[in-house]
Order: sequence, then structure tokens, then C-alpha cells
Amino acid sequence: MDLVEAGAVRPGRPVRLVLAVACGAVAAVVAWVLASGGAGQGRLTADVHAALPRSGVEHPVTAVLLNFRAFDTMLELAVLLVVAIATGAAGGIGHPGVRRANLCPAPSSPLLDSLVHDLVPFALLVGAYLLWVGAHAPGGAFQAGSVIAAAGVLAHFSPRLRPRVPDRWPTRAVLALGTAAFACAALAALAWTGVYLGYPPAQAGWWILAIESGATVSVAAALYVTFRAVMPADRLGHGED
Amino acid sequence: MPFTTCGVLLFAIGLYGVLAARPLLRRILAANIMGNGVFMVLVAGAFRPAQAGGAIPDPVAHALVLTGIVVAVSATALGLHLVCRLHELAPPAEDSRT
Repeated sequence: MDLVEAGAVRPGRPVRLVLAVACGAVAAVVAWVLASGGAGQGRLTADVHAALPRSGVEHPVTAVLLNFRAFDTMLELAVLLVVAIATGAAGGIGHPGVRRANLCPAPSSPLLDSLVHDLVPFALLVGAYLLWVGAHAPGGAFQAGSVIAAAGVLAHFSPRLRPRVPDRWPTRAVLALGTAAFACAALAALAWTGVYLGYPPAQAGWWILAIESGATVSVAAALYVTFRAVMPADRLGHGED
Repeated sequence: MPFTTCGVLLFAIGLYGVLAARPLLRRILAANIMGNGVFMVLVAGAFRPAQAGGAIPDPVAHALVLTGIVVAVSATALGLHLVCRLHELAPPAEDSRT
């Protein structure tokens, strides 16, 4: 019995049957509560739309994320940062090279190389567009960051074009940029208007764009770097970099 | 309503998986299914055609789900990384079904 399974012994058949019945009961109760209108009617919708002109953006979801509930979003970026650091990808935790003989890096393929070559610039363009369009339509820092990180993941599978992630302070600075930009904006707003994260309404749009630009870079970097940390190919090649 | 029901079902399936599954990878997947059920319920609940203001979805619920998705992805990545480390430190037996 190894460590992975030591704490997780599969329950026997009767226990699983009881569990299944209990889960079904939970589902029934939750469905009944939701169906009987237990949730409050959305007064917040009206509040958000009333305050939208002062938020600096036209899209209500972006306004909620970056202005009305900006503190949540700042902590969310901090969560991403913590995960990126915790996976050891920032170089904080040393990786002993993993020994897995059955996992080896995929051979280079000309088809993949040309696909990466053509698609990555396009993905970067889409990411920039999503960042910009977030002000008045669905989009924003997280969507843009995800698309850019996906470009990085695609490029990762092509050994020749794999992004270099140096284990030095520039990588860490890029990872921390979003959280740092948010924290600086919060303190600057505190000094300027006297309200934590209370941007001056006239320039709120520019504040939000600046924060989102930093957040996009950090989200993309954090997602890619976290993905890279769990990929075996990178670990096998760790000593060669 | 059908979306809310699907969300509740996903939540229950995920809950069963978290409690009853043995392999850690399967538990992580089950927790994700559970979370997606919650997101589905929230997004479905944000859209209330019957309410006064017409068919405008509640942006606060959408923002909460967006935040939740990012946190769920982060937590999943951390969980997967821990499982990888566990396998490195204690390689599973030949007959392991993880």
C-alpha cells in the first residue's frame, strides 16, 4: 500500500450505496430549495446598472470585477500567484528530476512547428483584442490571459519553439505584476480619493485598463508556468536548460 | 430550470465521486465536476426572465463565477502538482489504478 492510496481506501459496496442515496438526497433538497425560489431576487442587477456610468467601463461584468468588487479580483490574482509559486515553477522549490522511463518528450514535428509558428501570433492578437474589448463586451484580463497561456501551451509541445522560462527575477516579476499593479492602484486610489480601490470616476476607465493589462500578463504567465510544472517533458529536460 | 437541474445533478455526481472514489486523480476530477455544477446553478440563477428589468442577467453572479473558475483552475493545478510529487516520492505499485 503506497502513500497515494494509504489515506484513501475505497469504501465497501454497502457504504457506497448509502453514499449514493445520501448524495441523491442532497441533490433533491438543493433542487427543491432552488425551485421554490429560496434565492433572493436580484436587486444587485439594478444597483450595478445604476452605478455603471461611474465605473469607467460599459460592460457590467467587467465593472463588477474591476471596480465594484475589485478586492475579490485582487485576491484572485494573489491566489494565482501563490499557486504559481507553490508549484515550484518560479524556482522557489527545487525539482529533483523525475524518473519516468515511459514518459519522454515528443519528437519535433514540422506540422506542429508550422502550426505554432502561424497560430501563436494570432493568439496573442486575440488576447490583446479580448483585453481591450472587455470594457464594453464580454472579455477582459482573465479571458485574454487564458488565450495567451493557451498559445504558450501549444508552443510548449514543439521542442524547437518552446518558451524559455528563466529561473530568475524577470519571471517572478512577470508573475507578480498583476497583483502588484492591483495593490499599487488600490493604494494610489486611497491616497487620491481617500477610498481603498475607489478610482476617481472620471479616469476610472484608464485605471481599469492599466490594472487589466498587468493582470493579463500575470494570468498568462501564471497559467503557463503552472502547466509547465506538471508536464513531464520539461522535468526530463530540466538538467539540459 | 433545466440548467439548474443539470447543475444540481453535476454537484451530486461530483460529491459522490469525492466521497467514494479511491484514486486521488479521480477525486480531483470529481471535485471539479462538483464545482462546475455550482457554477452552472449560479449562472442559471443569474438569468431570471421573470424579474422586473426584463431579461438582463445578474452581472454580480457572472463575476463570482468568473472568479470561481480561476480559483478552481488554480486549486486543481495545485492538487495535480501535489499528486505528481506524491508519485515521485512514493511510486505507486504496478497494479495501481490511478
